Amino acid sequence: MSFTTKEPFASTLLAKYENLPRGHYIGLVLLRTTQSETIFRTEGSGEPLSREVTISGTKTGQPIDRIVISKRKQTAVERRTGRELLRDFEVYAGDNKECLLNTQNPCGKCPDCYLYGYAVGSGGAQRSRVMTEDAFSLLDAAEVTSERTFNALFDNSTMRNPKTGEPSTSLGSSEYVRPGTHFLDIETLKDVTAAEFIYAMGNILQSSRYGAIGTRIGVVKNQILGIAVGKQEIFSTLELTQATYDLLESKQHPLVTETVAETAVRAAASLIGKVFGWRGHWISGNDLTPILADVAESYQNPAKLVADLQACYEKS
Amino acid sequence: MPETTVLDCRLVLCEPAFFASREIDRLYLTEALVGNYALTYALGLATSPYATSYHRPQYAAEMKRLVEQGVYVTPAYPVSRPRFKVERFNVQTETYWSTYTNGAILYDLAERGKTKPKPYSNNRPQQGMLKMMARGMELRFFAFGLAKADLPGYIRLGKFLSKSRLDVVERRAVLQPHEKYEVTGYFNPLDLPAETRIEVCNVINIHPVPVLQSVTCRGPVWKLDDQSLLPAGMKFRFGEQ
Ligand SMILES: [Zn+2]
Repeated sequence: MSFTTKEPFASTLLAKYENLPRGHYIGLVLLRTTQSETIFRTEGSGEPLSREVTISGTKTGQPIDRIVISKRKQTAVERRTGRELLRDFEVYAGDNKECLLNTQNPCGKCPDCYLYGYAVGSGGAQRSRVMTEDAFSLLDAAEVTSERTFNALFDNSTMRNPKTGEPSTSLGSSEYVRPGTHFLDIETLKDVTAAEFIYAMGNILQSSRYGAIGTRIGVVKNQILGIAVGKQEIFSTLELTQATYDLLESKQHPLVTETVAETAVRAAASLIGKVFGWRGHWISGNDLTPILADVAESYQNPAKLVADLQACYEKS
Repeated sequence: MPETTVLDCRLVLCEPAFFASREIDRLYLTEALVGNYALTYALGLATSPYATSYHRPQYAAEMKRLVEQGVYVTPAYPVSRPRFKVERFNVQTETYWSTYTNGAILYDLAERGKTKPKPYSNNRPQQGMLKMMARGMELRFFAFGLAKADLPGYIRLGKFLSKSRLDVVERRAVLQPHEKYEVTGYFNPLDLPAETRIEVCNVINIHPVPVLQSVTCRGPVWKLDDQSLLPAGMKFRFGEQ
């Protein structure tokens, strides 16, 4: 039997999409680990890595620089992953026109539009039910970044001057996030159905390219460390990052991913007890295994998953 | 003297928060405050549908129940010198391929090879600067007609649904019938009762209703146990008495 029909999910997940907020929250606590050199910028190219001075821990109080993955950059990646599935199963076929992100003519009736939201200039809008947060590197930017120099390219993307044919002699430099860097993150789902919940988790687990993307850069592995189910939101990503930092024995890159995951789960369990008015459920460790297995199983039969998603929006 | 309980609420921004308070060319400015309508929705006291065909929420209809129950929330004001973060934004299509043409973005791959591709016109701003309230900034507001347990520990603010922590203290308040006093924090002039006269104030023009700061009033006032002073009789009026 699917976990979605058991508590606490049975009373939290909606049977169908509802247009009025109910205040049912699911917080997904995530560990994002870079698997290659990665570049996270605020906007566009030419800007340095996005970083911010934060206090290192909740108990260890010195300021450190942390690399930030902007909240506004995350769902775009995961939406694209989901849309590939929708496209494969012909959600956009027939009468349904292609639905494009960040344009003025989203289709307004596909699972992506319903779950992640859209706005059109003429006034129609669907608010997103997936809320992201800025994610922070666990360790100091000085630990997790490196810089390389390269011969600068000319405008035509070659190493030779297009007019004179002379080779480039100027050196550029680019800073990157080292492989094996850990970011703690939280995505919050609000008022979702069982199929939407599985789809959102699948989109996170199957997305592997973040930040600036190249042939050998931008690979990220996402893990779900815990699920908070309740009538309200949980602590912030920065609070989780700081509490985890306090509990870490080593503060030097590289850290063992398994150790980071265990430490973050302990930190989350202690933080959630301090959230004002928290009466929800916190699921982690072995309790998570059957849930993740169910998600994987749903993706064994993606046609049914897509059909279940579309059924969420059918008028009854 | 009548007494009541007022919630003294502290917001700590876990993320930079953006409200499009004003626009100057391609600069989008956030004022260092949160209007009380926005706050009421963020606290979950009023809700609007996920799908709307209008940009503007239906304030009066959606907040009617709160007026009947005597629930009221003041605008949030910064407790120390405001700090801001300015960030560049650059909206691009999320398709596999796109390019800029004169005032438009092309995104249809089928148009790619054509000598005269059909652009998709887009009159939303594609790039600019955002001025946001900075992470860690603290704001304060007051809530009437609520118990501490009615409010959540974290809320989402502004256009990017930025997470903020909420710390609440209950305060006793005693009514002073007729005084000349300086109001603690900011308030929405539409929500003031007729018997209260504003003598001095600064106006901060934001959408949808201006907010007043450094206000001296004459009229009945709640005096809180920390000496804060708030006009008595405030409620969501939407310009009606
Ligand atoms: Zn769509």
